[in-house]
Amino acid sequence: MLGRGMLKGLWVTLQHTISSFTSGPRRFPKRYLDGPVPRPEPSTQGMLTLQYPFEKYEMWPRFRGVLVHLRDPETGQSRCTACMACVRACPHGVLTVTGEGKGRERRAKTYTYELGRCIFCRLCVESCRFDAIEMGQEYEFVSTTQDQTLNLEEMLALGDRSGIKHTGEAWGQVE
Amino acid sequence: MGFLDALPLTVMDWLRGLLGQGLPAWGVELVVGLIKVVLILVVAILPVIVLTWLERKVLARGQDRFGPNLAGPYGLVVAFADAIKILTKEDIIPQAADRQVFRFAPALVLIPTLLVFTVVPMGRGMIAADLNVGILFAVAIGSLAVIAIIAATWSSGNKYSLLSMFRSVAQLVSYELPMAFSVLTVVLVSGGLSTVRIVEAQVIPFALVMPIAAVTYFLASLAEANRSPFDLLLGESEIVAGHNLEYSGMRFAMFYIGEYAHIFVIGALTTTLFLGGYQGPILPGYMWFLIKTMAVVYVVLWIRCTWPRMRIDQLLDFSWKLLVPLNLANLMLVALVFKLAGTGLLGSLLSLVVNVGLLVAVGTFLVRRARSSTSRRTRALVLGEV
Amino acid sequence: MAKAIFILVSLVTLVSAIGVVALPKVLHAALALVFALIGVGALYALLGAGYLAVVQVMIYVGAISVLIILAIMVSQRSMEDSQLQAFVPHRAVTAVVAGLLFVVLAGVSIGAAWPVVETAVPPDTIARLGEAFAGRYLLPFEVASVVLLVSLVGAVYVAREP
Repeated sequence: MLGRGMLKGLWVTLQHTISSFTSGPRRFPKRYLDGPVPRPEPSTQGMLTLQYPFEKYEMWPRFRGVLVHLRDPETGQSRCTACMACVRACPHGVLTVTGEGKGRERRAKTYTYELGRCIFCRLCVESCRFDAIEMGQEYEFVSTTQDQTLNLEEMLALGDRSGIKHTGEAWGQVE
Repeated sequence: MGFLDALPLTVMDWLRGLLGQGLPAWGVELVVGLIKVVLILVVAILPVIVLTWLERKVLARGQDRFGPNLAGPYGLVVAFADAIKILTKEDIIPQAADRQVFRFAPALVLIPTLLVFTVVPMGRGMIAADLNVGILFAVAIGSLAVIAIIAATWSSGNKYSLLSMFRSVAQLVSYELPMAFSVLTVVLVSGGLSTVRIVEAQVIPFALVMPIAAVTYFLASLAEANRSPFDLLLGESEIVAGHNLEYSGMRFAMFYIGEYAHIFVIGALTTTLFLGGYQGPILPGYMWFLIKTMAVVYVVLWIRCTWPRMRIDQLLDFSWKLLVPLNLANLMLVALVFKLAGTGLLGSLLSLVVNVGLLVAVGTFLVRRARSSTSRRTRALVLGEV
Repeated sequence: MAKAIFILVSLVTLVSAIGVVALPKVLHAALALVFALIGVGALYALLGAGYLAVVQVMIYVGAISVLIILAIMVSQRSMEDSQLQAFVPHRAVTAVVAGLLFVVLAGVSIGAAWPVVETAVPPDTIARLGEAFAGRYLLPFEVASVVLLVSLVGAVYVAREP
C-alpha cells in the first residue's frame, strides 16, 4: 500500500544486482566458464545466463545428437559389418554404406551420413545388432547445404569424444 | 580551495592570458566562449556514450543477465558499435511527412537538453553562465522539449506518433507544476535563483532538509525526460514506440542522444538542487559533482529496471491529486518554518520534521479514506488490494 | 559584440515573425511563432531583463504556444495541407488597413519621447519584483490570480458533461 510495493520491487532488483556480482557460478570476475557448464539448481542465486557459443551445458546421457561409430577396443576399428540394417531402418535414406570381405570378415568400407537430412530418430541405432553405432552428444552441425556428410573416420573420432562404450548404455539396454 | 579543485580554472586563466597576447579583448572572449560551448557539448555527449552502455548493464544486472559483453572488454565500446550501425542505416522520410519540419525536429529535440548545461555548476567556479535566474532558466528550457516533440510527431504524419504527442503534452504540462513548486521551495530557502547560490546555500543537502520536494523534483524530472515509469509516450505495446516511430538512421540517433543526455541532466539538476552540488570533503568539486550525478543516474536506471509503466490516468492523477497539493502544503510549511526558525541548523531540522510529519499525515489520511471507501479503484490504488 | 548579437537575434525574430504571417501551413506558422517568441525573449535578455526573458520563454513558448498548436490540431481540416485563404477575398481592404495601422504605429514609436534612465539596472531585480508583488501591488496581483481562477472554474464548468 502507498507505494510499499514499489519500494519492495526496488529492493528486489537491488538484491539481484548485488547477487549477480557476489553469488552464483559467476562469483569471480571471469568472462566464460571452462568446459561444459553444469545445469543450475532452481534455487541458485546470481547470474545464470549461458553465454552460448562460448559456454555449453552438459547434455543428458540419452541426448540424441549426431550419429557416431563406436570403436572396437581389440581391433581399433568400427564394429560395423555393413549388414545394411541401419540403411533399411532409416526413414530418410540418410545413410550410404558399402562393405568389403565375406562372412565374419565383412567390414564397412565406407559409411556416409548425410547430416542435413537426419531427423535424429535413433531407428538406425535400434536396428544395429553389432554394437557399432550410437547417438552422440554433439549437436552443432549446422550446414548450409543439404548434402553435408560425415564419413567413417570422422564418426569414429566423434565416438571417441563422446566416451560411449556400447550401444544403448544410457538407455539401460546393456547388462 | 585546493590545487586540484581549481585546476580547470587555472588552465582556463592561463589560456586566457595566452590568448590576450595576440588577440583583442573581444577576440579572447569569443574564443573562451567557443571553448565553453565545446566543453558543454563534451559534457553533454560524453555521458551519452557511457550511459548507453551503463543502462544496458544496469538493467541486465538487475535481471540476472550480463548485458553487452562482446564489444570490447565488458562491452565498453558498444556505444560505438551502435553509432556505426545507426550511421549506416537508410534515412527514410515517409511520404505523408511534412518534410521541412520532419528534418528540423530532431535538432530541436537536442537543443533544450544541451542548453540546460549552461547553468549547471560542475565544480567550484566551473559554470558556463552564472545567470541570476539560473534555475528558472533550466525549468523554462525544459518546457521547450514539448515543442520539439510536437514538431516531430506532427510532421511524421503517423497517427501513433500523434497519440504519443497527446500523451506527452498532457504529461509534460502536468508535471511542470509540481516541478516548479519543488524548485520554488528550494529557491525560497536558498534565497536566490542562481544555481551557484543554491549550491552554496546547501550546508546540509536540501534532500535531507525537505525530502518531499526532492522526491517530487526527481519524479517530475523523470516525467519530463519521459523515463520509466512515466515513459508512456514510448509505449511499445500500444503506440509502437511513439514519437520517434517514423525516424531512422541519424535522425533517430538524435532522439536517442537527446534521451540519454536528458538522463544526465536529471542527475545534474537534482544534484545541484538537492544534493549539495559540487560540495563535499576531500575530493575536488567536479569529482563530487560527477559522483553525485552518477548516483542519481543509477537510481534512474534502477527504477527503469523495476517499475512498470504507468497508465495515463494514473499518471495525471498522481500529479494533480497527490504531488501538486502535497507540494503546495510543503511550500507553505517550509516557508513558515524558515521564517520562524531561520535558515540555520534549527530551521533545517524543523523543516525535516515538518516534511516527515506532512508525509505521515497525508499517508494516514489516504489510508483512512481508502479503508472507508467502497470504490474498488481507490482501494486498489491506496491499499494495494487486488 | 553585443550589437552583433542584437542584430542576429532581431534578424531571427523578424524572419520568424514574417514567417508567422506568410507561411501557408498553419502549423509552420505556429512553429515560426515559437521562434519569434524565443527571439523576443533573447532581446529581453540582451536588455538585462533576465527574469522577463525566462518568463517569456516559459509562459509564451512552454505554455501558450503549446496551447495554440494543440488548438490547431484539434480544429478541423488543419491536418490537411489547406492553404490559408482568410484574407484573399478582401486583399485590397486588408492592405489599406494594415498600411494605415503601420503608419500610425511607426509614427507613434518614432515620435514618442522614450525616457532614458541614467542609472544602471539594479542587479537584483527579482527580489525587488517579488517585494513589489507582495507589497505595493498586492491587490492587483491577487485580483489577477482571482480572474485566472474564475476562468479556470468557468472552463471546468463548460467542459463538464451535462
